[in-house]
Amino acid sequence: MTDPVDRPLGAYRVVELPGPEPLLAGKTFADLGADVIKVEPPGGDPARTLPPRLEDGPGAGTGLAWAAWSLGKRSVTADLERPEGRALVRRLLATADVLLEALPPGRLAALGLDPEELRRDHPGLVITSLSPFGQDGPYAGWRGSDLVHFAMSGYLHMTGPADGPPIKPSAPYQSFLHGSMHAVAATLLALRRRRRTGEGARVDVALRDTGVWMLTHTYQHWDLARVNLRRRGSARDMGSTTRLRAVYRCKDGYVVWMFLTGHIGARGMQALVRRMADEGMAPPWLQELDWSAVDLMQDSELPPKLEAAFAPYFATKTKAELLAWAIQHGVMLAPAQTLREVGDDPHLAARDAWRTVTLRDGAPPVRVPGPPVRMGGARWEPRGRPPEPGQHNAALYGELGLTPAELAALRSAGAV
Amino acid sequence: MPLPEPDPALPLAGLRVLDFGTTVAGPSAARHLADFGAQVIKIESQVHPDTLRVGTPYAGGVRGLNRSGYFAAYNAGKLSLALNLQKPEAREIVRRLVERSDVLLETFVPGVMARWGLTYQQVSAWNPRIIMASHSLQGQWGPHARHRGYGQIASAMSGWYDLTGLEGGEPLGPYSAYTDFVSWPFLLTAILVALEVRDATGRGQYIDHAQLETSLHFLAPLLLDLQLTGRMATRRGNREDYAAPNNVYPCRGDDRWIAVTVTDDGEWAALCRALGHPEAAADPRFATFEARKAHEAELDALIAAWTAEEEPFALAERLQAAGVAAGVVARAEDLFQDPQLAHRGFFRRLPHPEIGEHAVLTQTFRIEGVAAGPARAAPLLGEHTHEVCREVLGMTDEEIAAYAAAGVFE
Repeated sequence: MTDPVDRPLGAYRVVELPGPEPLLAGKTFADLGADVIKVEPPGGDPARTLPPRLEDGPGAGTGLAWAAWSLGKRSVTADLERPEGRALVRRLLATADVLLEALPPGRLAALGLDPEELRRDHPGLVITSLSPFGQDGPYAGWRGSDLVHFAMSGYLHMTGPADGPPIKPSAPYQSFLHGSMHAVAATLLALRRRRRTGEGARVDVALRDTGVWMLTHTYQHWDLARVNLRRRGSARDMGSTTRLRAVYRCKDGYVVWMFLTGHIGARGMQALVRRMADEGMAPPWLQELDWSAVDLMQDSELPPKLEAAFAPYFATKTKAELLAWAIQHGVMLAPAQTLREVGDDPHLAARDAWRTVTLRDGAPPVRVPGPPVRMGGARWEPRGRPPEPGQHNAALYGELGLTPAELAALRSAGAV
Repeated sequence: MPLPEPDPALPLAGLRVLDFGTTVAGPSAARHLADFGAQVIKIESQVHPDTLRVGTPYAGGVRGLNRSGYFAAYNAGKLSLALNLQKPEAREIVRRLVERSDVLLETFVPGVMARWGLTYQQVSAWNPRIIMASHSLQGQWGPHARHRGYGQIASAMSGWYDLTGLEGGEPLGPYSAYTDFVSWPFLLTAILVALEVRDATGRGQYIDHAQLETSLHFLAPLLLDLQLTGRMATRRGNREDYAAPNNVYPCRGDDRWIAVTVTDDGEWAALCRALGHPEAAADPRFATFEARKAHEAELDALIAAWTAEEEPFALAERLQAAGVAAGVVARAEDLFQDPQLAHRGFFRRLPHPEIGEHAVLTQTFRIEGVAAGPARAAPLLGEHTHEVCREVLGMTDEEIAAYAAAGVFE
């Protein structure tokens, strides 16, 4: 018998409809042991080819977002536009605990898969829907995108150069990923409730709202002080003052350093200034500051003076030197690692944070992120390659009671 | 006054959670546990309050441990027990709490809990059913485990600074502690999953949760691309491979922008029409996706010229009506005018004895039939110390007074 800790969600079956938004949600359920079945249109989910893509060679056209976030799922095809396809999905849902979907609000009902009706037919089903702004309300019909979600959440306004445009992180699909993980937690809450009541639920996740959760103290500044904070490059707007910039050039790139004083930061500041003094790079006024008492709120002249004092020092060191020293002395400083450096990070290697997979026969081995949850003693491996479209039609539709002849008829009709 | 009772109809009713978390990530996960019915006891002290208690803004601009709007956001609905863990007597109280709790969540620098003798080994000896979740930047062990910092430091280590900035410019990083927000839903998931395992086995679990590791999941396609093609993603403003245009464009007003995403030729034609330049749709520099990508700087300049005199909110309505994904780059003030957030009841106004009535964010999701919290504002520091000792731990007033005299509740 497998230890439940190895496949903690092994009792659940999750059906995931097409689209990129729920990919990480389904993948996380699969990582945690659930039986996750992706339903694709015949010919495959268009999300399969989203960039970044392999442009040439074997596997050309493979979307790497799809590949990364489909590991361990099974795939069936069913044409939701056709009654035979919808009938198959209904039969599949009769065996499922969770439906994950991100069709535009109202689309599921328009297709004849009305969530209310599905819930009536399958009272235990949890239907988790991801959409840009929510299933109802004045913007329910609005179109979203990663950029639009970040913009309308207020997060974009806070990121970017002080004298330039608002920007988002240059990594695609972020709001889908935040939304996916919020959806996983929300679905688990609904399943926990089902345990007690026997009832499923409709779960309505708004992708835009995940950006509002990332605003830290921004909305409160308006609510309590009528101040609109704004982006300040790598520095931070604190309402009545601006923190020091966080990014500094060093010998071989950039480091991020958090200027903090008081009981949290004083020790680290003392260590840094002492070290600069040892190397003859700390002006006397800097050495005389009492870091437990320095308060930028009281002295707005100080930040530029401090930046000008620290920047030349960091410029004489490498990322590796600064990191080793920061860890040793409890200083809040880290290299701005590139993705290559993330891949080569010795700490991640020491913690066995990667797993090696091949995406298809004959493909080179690649490393993918390890377990989404590290629970004591669990033996965790990714569960299989990204499936081909309809790879599990015969197995799953057979399980639902379709004969090979019936399946062949559906295939020739183009429904699967 | 007796402790407030969680709504028994909520999914986590009956669970008790000890929240030793500070700042954002741990407390956000714990707040969701409270919002969905767990009794969450936040443990801090006058000596070492949660850092957010000294974070701006303060109500009325007056500093005070109970006046921070920042703290109020991530701690609404919790109870507060003041406990100075540096006092040896505090350990006895922690033991009694652990014996009566389901989840212990902590976010100290790895090694701190052990210094107080609060290892998982010890905690689970007191209560084998407890789930202990340790949340940190890089995990509890490994060469960088003791690296101090907030989410900005984990964001630097996991690539988010390098990935955020203008093309060719210096790294700027995403606003605030990005990895805190990547991380807490994984942490909440881990705790909910551990509860499932406990249902099956009767045993608790230890969770070693690292911000750096959760970030890898959000970067997985880029990490695959690097390995398979050698392309390394880095900062490039708002550009995306799958859309053109995909950017922000200036509008009328100070620092006013509209975000627009176009993924196909039909949307492009709709955008041109809605902006009053239908002829541009056929311009060969922009007529196809490939052409728009090849001339993206010109494309951005053209649209920026079209939008510069537009009123941003009216323009967003117009573009959406034309079927184009578009939205105003909101500032905090705008969120309180947003009809969709209002429709979802996203901000809830709650009374607080020192802050007064103030807005607290709810959740990004709604579960049908579940009236999620927060039912109350964030607690005053130590507001529930006596009640927790009396009602949860069964202490007499004399015992409580003795602990108080020893400074345990400071």
